[in-house]
Parts: sequence; structure tokens; C-alpha cells
Amino acid sequence: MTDDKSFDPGAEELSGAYALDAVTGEEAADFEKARRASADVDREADEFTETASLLGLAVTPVVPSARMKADVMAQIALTPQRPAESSRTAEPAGEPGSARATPAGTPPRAERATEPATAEREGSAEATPASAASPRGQLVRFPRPLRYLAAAAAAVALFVGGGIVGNALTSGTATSTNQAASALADIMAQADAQKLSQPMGDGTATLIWSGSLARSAVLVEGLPALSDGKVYEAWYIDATGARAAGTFRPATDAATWHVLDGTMTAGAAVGVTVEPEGGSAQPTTDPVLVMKPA
Amino acid sequence: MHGQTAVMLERVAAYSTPEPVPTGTETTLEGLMEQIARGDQGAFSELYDRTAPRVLGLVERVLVDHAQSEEVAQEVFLEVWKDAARFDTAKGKALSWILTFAHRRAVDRVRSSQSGRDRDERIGKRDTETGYDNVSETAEIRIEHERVARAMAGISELQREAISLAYYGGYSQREIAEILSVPVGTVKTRLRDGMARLRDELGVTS
Repeated sequence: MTDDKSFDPGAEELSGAYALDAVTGEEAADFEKARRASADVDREADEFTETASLLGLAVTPVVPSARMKADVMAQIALTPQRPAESSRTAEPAGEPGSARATPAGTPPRAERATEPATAEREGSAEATPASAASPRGQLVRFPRPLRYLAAAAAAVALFVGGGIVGNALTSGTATSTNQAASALADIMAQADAQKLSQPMGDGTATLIWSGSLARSAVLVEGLPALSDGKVYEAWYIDATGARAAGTFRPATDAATWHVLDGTMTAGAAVGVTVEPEGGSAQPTTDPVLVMKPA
Repeated sequence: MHGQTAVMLERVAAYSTPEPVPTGTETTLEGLMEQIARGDQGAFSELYDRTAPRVLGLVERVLVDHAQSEEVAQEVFLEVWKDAARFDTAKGKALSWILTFAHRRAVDRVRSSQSGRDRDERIGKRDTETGYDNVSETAEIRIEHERVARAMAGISELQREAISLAYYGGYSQREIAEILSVPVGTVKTRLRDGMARLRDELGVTS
């Protein structure tokens, strides 16, 4: 084992070892410094990284267990995404070289104490105004394939805490929110869970339902806020008319969702109107949303 | 007051289910990454299906132990999800990005001492068992395999040995120096010169 620095002709000589992940955290940091200082070194590092990944492509694939996918999908359903690194246009004039220095296209190395890129990443996150809110904002995006969230159904509390604001008929208490979240997770966990999306205002409205449970929930991104004394009210609508299915308020910073009260009969459509506080027995305004399962 | 219900019923009658997205047009992995960056879990699911065997294959190649490899591969995909917005198409292919990630995580795991020791025992065992995995290879993989094999044949034996120990073995340059009983500087040079020739053989340009 030789730690003698004099052995190293220079950090840029580490380009091969670096691309092959054959360096220590300290050596990686040294090399990253060298690469920031020289466009040639940086280009070589990119090329070697690409070359190394071709070595990876030559490896015989191994089919993962089904469980692995379920675990991954459940995890990502509950994991906020990081914002993009400082965008080039928004980059303050300060250090034009720095955006390049932390290669945006390169996956970050493991968090190591000696890793300067970590500090840079945090710095750039702070510099982005939207970033404080965005971890929550990202999480609220509703997954398209419903079944994956079934695996996460057990983690209902996280679900609620993560920024999807649920509204039960008696919204407000943690218990009712949890119950609504459970109901939502239940619907999604059904093998016959289905989903329908359509544009609504600036966002998207999604209806999810399970025929076997005879329940449904409506989820809306970007549901407009209402003036005081107004609520949204959901309805089941079929040939016999409209049945009230609970009121809810728009979430302020997240997707609004509402598990409908009552039973969803076969062929029923779901509508939403704006009603006075407390709700109405029958709709009194034009619907802002109507969705009909196929 | 039933007027509003009538409006709704009208709308229900007029309502037609939106056209499903036409199938058959396969989104590129880069396209999927863009969707994932916007929080699309369906796109993530597809990306997973298309890349997980590669990721797991690479991680397991380095780590040997299957259960640990699945753990690490899971971490890799979680990172891909979290950092999707940082993927830059201009910098390369999504698969390269993911595999670079996967390799790094696998090596990080190897370096954690106990994993490394366990692995060294297993490597000894694996090498006496089968030379190569017996999973059937698709034509695509076989072509890539041959391409890399040919490129590897174009570099010196010493370079090939050092690169293989580093990439497929997950050994650090210092460990390689110990294994081969040569100075670290020598290993470093072999890795760099070898990678430069491999890059040229494989036609990688930036």
C-alpha cells in the first residue's frame, strides 16, 4: 500500500481509474478539481465514462425478482424528486464554469465527506427559488398505473404527509384524512381498479374506481380555489338523477383528491359542482367536471 | 333545480372516453427520462422494465451476491427517480447514465468492508463454477458483447487485465496494484491508456 503523493504524476492522470470507479473518495475529489480546471480533462472524463458504460452494456442481464419491482414502485410512489440542477438560463453570472464543473449529466457519486459536488448541489438547490416547495410539489403527481401504489397502501400516513391532501366529507381531523387515504389506497389496491383522466382547467382530473368495491375517487391537479362559503361537491349521476357524494375543498399546494361517499352503481358518471358551504341536496350550478367510466 | 342535473346528464350522454395513447410506438429511454423528471410513474415503470435486467446484471457482476445486488439495484432505481431531472440528454444516453450510476453504487457497496470480504470468497467460488452466466442472451446483447470483446482484444493484455479488475471486479487502483504487485502509478497509467484505446476502438466521441 503506498500513499505517497509523489507517486501521482497529477490528478488528471486519474481519468481512467475515475471512470472505472477505481478511486477513493479523496482521489475522486482531486480528479474532479482537475477536471473543472481543464476542458480537455473534462472531455476525456466524459468519453471514458461513456466507454465504461459500454463495458456495462456487455454484461449478461439478470432478470430481477417480481418483488424488486414492487418494492421499487412503492418506494418511488413515496419519494420526492430532486429539482434539476441550476438551469443554464437561470444561472447567476457568477461562475460560468461551475454548471459544467458539476456535470449535470453525470450521476452524483455517493455522498462522501470529501465530495465537493455535494456542497455545490446543495448550494444550487438553495439558489433555485422553487426548490424549497418542489419536493412536496413533485410528490403529489399522481401515478398512472394504479396498481403500483397498492404496494404502498400500508404507508397511508406517509401518503398524506407527503403532500396529497385528502378530503373526506368531514375533512380536517387527522383520523378522517387517514380514513380517506385508506379508502383511496383500498380502491387503488383492487385488481379491477381503473382510471380515467381528462384535462380540467390548467390541470388534469383523474377518476379512479373499482367496480368490485363500488367506490371511486376523483383527483384534480390545479383545482381552482373557491371564495369563502363555497365548496366543491361530488355527485354520482345516472339515469335516476344526481346523488350527493360529499364535499371537499381544493388543496392549496397539491393535488386535491376526494373519495366519494356512497356506492358507485354500474354505469354511473361522476360530476363535481361548486356549492354553498355544507353542500346541496341537488346540484345548483353547472358542473365543473363530469367523468364517465367507459 | 333539476335543471343542473339535466345539464350533467346531457354532458354524460355527450361524453366519450378519451382515445387511449396509441401503442406500438416505443418511447426512447431518453423520452421516458423526460417524463420521469415530470413525476410520471408510468414512464418510470416502463424504464424499469426495460433496464432493470441490465442494471441487476451489472451490479451482480461486481457484487456477486444476488440478494445484495437486488438491494443495490433498488437503490439505483430510487436514485434514478430522484435525480431524473438532472439527466441531461446532451451529455449522453439514458442507459449509459443509469449504468454509470449502477456501477458506482455497486462499487460503493463492495468497498464497505464486510461486503467486500464476503464477495472475495464468492468470487473464488464463482470462478471455479462457471466462467460465464448461462442466461440466454438476446441478439442485441450478443452484438454489444462482441463489440466490447473485440475492442478489449485490441488493447494490451496488461491494460485489459487492469480494466477488467477495476470495472468487472470493482477493485480500486490500489487493490489492483496489490493484486498485480505493481506500483499504483503503473495501474493508473494502464487504466488511462487502456481506456483511451478502448474509447477509440469503440468509437466513443464527445
